[in-house]
Amino acid sequence: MAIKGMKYEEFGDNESLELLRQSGTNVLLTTIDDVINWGRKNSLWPLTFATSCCGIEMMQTGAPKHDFARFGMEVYRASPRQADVIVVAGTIVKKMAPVLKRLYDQMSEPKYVVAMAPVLLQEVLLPFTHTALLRVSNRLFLSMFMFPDALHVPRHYYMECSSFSGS
Amino acid sequence: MDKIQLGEFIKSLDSDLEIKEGKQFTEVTVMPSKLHSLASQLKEKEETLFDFLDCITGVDYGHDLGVIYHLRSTKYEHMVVLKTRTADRDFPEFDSVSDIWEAADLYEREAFDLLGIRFTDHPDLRRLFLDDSWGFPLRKDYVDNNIITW
Amino acid sequence: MEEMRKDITTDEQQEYTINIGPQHPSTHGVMRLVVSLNGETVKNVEPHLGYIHRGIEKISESLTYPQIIHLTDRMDYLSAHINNEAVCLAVEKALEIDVPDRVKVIRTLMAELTRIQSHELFWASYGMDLGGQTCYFYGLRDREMVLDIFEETTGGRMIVSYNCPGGVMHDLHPNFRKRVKEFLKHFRKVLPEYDDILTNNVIFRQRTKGIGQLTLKDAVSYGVTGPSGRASGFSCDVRKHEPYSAYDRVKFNEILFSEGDAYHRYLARMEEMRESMNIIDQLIDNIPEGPYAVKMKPVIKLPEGEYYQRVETPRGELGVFIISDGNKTPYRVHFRTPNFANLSVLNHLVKGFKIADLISIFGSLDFVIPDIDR
Repeated sequence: MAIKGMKYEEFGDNESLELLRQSGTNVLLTTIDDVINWGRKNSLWPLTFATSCCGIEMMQTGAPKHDFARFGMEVYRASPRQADVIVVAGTIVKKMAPVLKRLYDQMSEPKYVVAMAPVLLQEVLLPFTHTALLRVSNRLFLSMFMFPDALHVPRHYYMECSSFSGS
Repeated sequence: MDKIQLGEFIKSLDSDLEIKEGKQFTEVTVMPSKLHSLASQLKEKEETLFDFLDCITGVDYGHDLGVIYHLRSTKYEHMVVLKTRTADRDFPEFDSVSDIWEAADLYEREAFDLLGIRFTDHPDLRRLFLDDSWGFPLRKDYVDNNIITW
Repeated sequence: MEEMRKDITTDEQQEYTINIGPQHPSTHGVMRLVVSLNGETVKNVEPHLGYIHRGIEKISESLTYPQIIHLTDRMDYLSAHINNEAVCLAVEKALEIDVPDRVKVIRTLMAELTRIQSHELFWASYGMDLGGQTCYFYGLRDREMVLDIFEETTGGRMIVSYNCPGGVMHDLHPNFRKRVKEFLKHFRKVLPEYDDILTNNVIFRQRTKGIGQLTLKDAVSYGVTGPSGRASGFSCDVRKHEPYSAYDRVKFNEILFSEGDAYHRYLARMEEMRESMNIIDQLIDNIPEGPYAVKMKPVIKLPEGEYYQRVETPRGELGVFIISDGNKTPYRVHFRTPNFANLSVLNHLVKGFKIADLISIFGSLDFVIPDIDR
């Protein structure tokens, strides 16, 4: 069960590495803003928010094979006050929506939201239901970053998170 | 006991019952007023000993509302289906069997939540999944403005 | 001063209610437990459900039978194959179709692999709930091998929709046999490690032995099936009592204990993993050749009547009850889910224990919340 490493080109932080290699020393001069942004970019701590099946795939992403600690998402925080990103994994129904909003409000800035299941963004699978599944994008969150279509497969989840941390 | 013997035995308990041999199980239709006594007899009688309640299903038949009980015996491994129905759609009421089988507690709450069927003498009849302002979704005449139909 | 001191007695217990809210760091799903405590001792636990209620039974009334299978995947997502199999068996029983032998063996193999991966996740999350994070990493590492096997054949890791009425969607991948044998070889070596970490661990034993004892009479009365019921001595394995698919041609033991505490519920699942491996061993070398599906009509209509089919999922007995009026969509579908029945016993088991034991009992009953809410 060999775990393949990432290609050099896919790793998003190559500029700083290249800079260090060229200068030959291990000292960089930069602004505080840059350093803080670099820290925030590379260590996003997610909040455990597993509603249904996507939650188990989110757990698998933290497991040894698709280990996401190598991207800086070191630990899952149980408390929203210590988390940076809330990964909404699974269906949100009308009864759960106020809970999600309250968790989002309790997080401190800067905060992000990743919607993991396609069912959250479009009424695809379950439109005939009396529980009125919500479109997370429109009705709950006013200002946030949204990355749709991270299907419940770890490698897709990575592609979204890595493209996100590159921004 | 096989299906036919079971049917005959249950008929002997109460002659008002309607016994039908379904494809899989013996189906017993009982009046709502005699439901509780028949259920406790089915559990206690040595010949039947139905001590395991598989499930309680609430059904909306269009005009009537009914409840279907699937009962099984752990000793003899036979099953029977108990059915009852009422034509009262506004205040449907049946006797609760949660004093006979403890598992019935949650099943009856679910039937109340989704279909509006009340059970008398239930220890705690509250809505289970939805809140009090929802209607009863599993009824055939339920209308919801939030549902999207193509 | 003396009067003030008399008011504050140290023996006075405080009764209060706390909320273990819908979002909690264990993996079971979204359930809210309102716990009434007296000091640290639990007096009453009231589960509040409905945070993932998607109305699957109502939706099924407007979908055709092959479409319902896709919804059953999402009910108890850790036993997706077995949920699909339940609906397929109900439809096949109604239409009186006999599926080929190859289909029966494939379904049994997939079901046993599902059982192993579900119990592995139970092990991983139970250890993590009690504080041992190592279990999370070890358990999920080995579960990946099973998910890879599923992905190669069916295309999906956890949500598979592989069974369909009449057979399976496509044939097994040529690598299937080799990969399953590799997995069995690897897992047999690794299972003693699991025992070393948790089963023989003194802290784990103290937190689970004697906690939450369920008697046989209560298990039958509350309707607790699956390993939780079998740990109390309730012989309820559907694979033994009403064999379906290829279970009538394999030899395996039904794991029964009599103590009924959290430790034995855990042990029952560990032993079941070993039994599942034995079943796979008996079948993997003799998969019969033949068609992988029976030709069905494009539109499946069940004859009028009521059909009830039971299968054994890793958590207990799943029952599918279909009332059909002859159309292509069912009139009423009801799922008798094992977790819904197992939940009713939680309040009874927890009374008198401390709040840390509540987590232990809750974890040992192995709930998957979307199965309760459907």
